[in-house]
Amino acid sequence: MRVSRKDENIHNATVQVFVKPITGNEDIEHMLMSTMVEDCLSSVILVKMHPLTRIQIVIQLLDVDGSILSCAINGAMMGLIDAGIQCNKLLAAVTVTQLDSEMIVDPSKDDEKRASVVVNLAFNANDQQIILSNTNGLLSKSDYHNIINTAQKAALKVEKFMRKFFESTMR
Amino acid sequence: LAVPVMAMQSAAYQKLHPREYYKKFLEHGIRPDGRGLMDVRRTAVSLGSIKTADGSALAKVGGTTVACGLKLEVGIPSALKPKEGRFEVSLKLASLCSPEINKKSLGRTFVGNDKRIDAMAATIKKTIASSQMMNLEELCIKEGASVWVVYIDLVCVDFSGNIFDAALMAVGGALRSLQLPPTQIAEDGEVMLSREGKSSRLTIKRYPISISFGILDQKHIVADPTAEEEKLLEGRLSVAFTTDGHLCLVHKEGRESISSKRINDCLDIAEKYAEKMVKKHPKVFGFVAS
Repeated sequence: MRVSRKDENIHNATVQVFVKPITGNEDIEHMLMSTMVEDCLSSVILVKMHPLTRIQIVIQLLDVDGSILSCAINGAMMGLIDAGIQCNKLLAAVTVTQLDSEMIVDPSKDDEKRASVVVNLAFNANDQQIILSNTNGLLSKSDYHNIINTAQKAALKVEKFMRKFFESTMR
Repeated sequence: LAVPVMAMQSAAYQKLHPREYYKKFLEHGIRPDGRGLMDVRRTAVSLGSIKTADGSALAKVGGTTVACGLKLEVGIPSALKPKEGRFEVSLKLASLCSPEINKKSLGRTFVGNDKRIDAMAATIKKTIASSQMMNLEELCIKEGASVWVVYIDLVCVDFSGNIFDAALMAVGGALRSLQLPPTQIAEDGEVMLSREGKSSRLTIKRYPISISFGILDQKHIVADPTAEEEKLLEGRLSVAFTTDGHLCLVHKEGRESISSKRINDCLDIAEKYAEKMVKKHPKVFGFVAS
């Protein structure tokens, strides 16, 4: 898309992400979500291939049942691949909650409410490096280490799913 | 004659190739302002600076100065939590904080862009909520009917990089200085300030203390970036530990990815930093004997 004067960048495409809630106006939590998704996607999209353009991604929240941030990132990632926008790596995002010593990956809304800690992580699929980390709740350092390890394993599964999906639709 | 030529060359080099200029410093383990890679600038917190606010504090990290004012208003509690008060955080960059504030070039950094400032305010709000620093039930006036709503307004009055850490310290100080006025409830349920009775303070269990790291690329992470460094950074990691040793925020954003090992190194540094801050500012972060 054509980018407006104030946002244009002569070297790169401008990536804009909007997160729209089901009802009501966007509030600061949605702004936070949209900047997080924007950062993740800007890191994978090859922005130098499309200078002076705008890549606009709108995330319309339809039904929030937990793990909303990872869902948004994974969905946006698949949307980008579907649109044919060149990306240099595949992103996989995972939400993990912890209650006492029990970890739940991809929690539902009730799981998140009951949990004492909710962590959102997004990884590069190739090298398992962390692009996004967001924590809520009090935890200890070792809790965080364990959550990262669990999330990395889950991210591999997400990546497998994405690849399988696109390979099957390519035929 | 050689000295002025070299000075001009290095200034020109900085303008033309800012990242390479900066990397040359980092390779020797030092930064342009003389700090080590993981050194944080001098901090200062003062409480109760704004007399018209119900609670206030001013916090500085190096040159970055953030003022926090708290305003109390009476509100209706949510039906799910009838005994709990609420708080809202807003963050603003005053026009006087930096000569570049409204210039187009600032749009690329981590501040100056309205959406990112709102995002930072949301992160601050989440950190306060996650750290469980205050007991929201202390804000209750009448269960199910009236509670105090604390409006936390943060204003950056001097921008020199790294607003997040200064803002979080200012919030901690302001909440410590907050005085809840005594109230009485009229027959029609309206809450009025009463003349008798003492104002009470919030019991604050712990304070979140954060340290923000800038991620230049895979190899280089620096703590507490200045404004010039922030322009060159591709990613940012904020880690907050509470004064009693719990981790309450690991917030990584930005384009650059880092390995979990680097994050763990930063967690170790942040933990030591929180312990140091308690010792350095005992009047703010130390415990009050009540």
